[in-house]
Amino acid sequence: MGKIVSIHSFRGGTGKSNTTANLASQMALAGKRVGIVDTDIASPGIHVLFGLDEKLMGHTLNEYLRGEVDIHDVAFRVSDHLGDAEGRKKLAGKDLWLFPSSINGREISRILHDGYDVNLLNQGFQSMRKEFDLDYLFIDTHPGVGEETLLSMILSDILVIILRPDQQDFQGTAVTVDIARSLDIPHLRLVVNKALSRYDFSQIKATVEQTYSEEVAGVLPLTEDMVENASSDIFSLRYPDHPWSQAMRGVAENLLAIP
Amino acid sequence: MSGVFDRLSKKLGEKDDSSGISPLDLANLPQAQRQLMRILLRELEMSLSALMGLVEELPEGKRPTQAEVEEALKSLALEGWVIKMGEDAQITYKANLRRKAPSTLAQSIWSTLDARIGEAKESGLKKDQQG
Repeated sequence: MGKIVSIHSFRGGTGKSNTTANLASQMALAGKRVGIVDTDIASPGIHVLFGLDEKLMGHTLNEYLRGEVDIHDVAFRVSDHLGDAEGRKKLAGKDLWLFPSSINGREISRILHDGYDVNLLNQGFQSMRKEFDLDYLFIDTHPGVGEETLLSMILSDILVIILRPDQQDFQGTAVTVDIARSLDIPHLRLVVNKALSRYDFSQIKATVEQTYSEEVAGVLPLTEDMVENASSDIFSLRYPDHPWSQAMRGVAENLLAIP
Repeated sequence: MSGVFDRLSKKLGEKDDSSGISPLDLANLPQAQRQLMRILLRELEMSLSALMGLVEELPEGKRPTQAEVEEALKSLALEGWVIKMGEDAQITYKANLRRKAPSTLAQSIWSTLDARIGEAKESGLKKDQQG
């Protein structure tokens, strides 16, 4: 059965959702069957990168967690709604599904107010893997260490922790790495994002690996081009020759090589 | 086929929000118990023999014996963190996670928020129609 890949960061603004969307897209482009589930129920965002807005969004994880719909009803097949975005068009015919959380204010406040059945959430993850015959299920979570974060870590085959070359991120990542180690997660990878281009990336990689004694799957440069993209498209598909995209493909290859 | 007691305890479990294990408790379990819970969470429901099949795949040194697995399952079931279903040869086990607690914010905050969102939506719709 397919692997569960959890993407975490201790702090917000690390580019977690962007990295998740690009990684998943690269894997789909490589012919893998890929799912992405947005468990950041309080502040969902990854849907934007796939051109999904409130009008286009059908059923959501929120309705599934209330027992109103089946997980199949929540699945949004990306290749069926590619729109005009140049990058996303490359996903035509590819097997990539998004399981979005609602972006409706009432829906968000309702689930925060009522809570939900975590057994049902886990059943949803496992159903996604089995029924969609996924090779990889990416779980995009809220930053920091919360209940959903711990659950997704425990379930994971691969945990990817994203950090910026920043002292606050370094300290927070140490906490996440310690938790991950105590949970015996089979594979842990670090990804450094938003590294200044003038730095020596191989030096950053070596320093981070030495600090945490864990493998760095890639160092991604800080780029204004990414900011300009403004989550309107999958950057690594739209600009495949860009240094950020090349580094991202390296991360995808690293994960694909994990047995 | 599950018995009457299984169905009754399932129903009772559904009503009791405090039953089941929280992710935090899960993270704090001894390694052997956590490994079993991880397998049960990923497989949803399984027999002891199927569980032992996956336990055999764990790395040497982290692999509990069948006696240890049975003991761990007994402890987890006593806590209500694993549910034992069926009888005799048909026994299966499933993990039981605690319901995500509702927000502790006052009910009035949620109804006010709900009303405000509703008003904002209606006002947006009116503007769209006028525009």
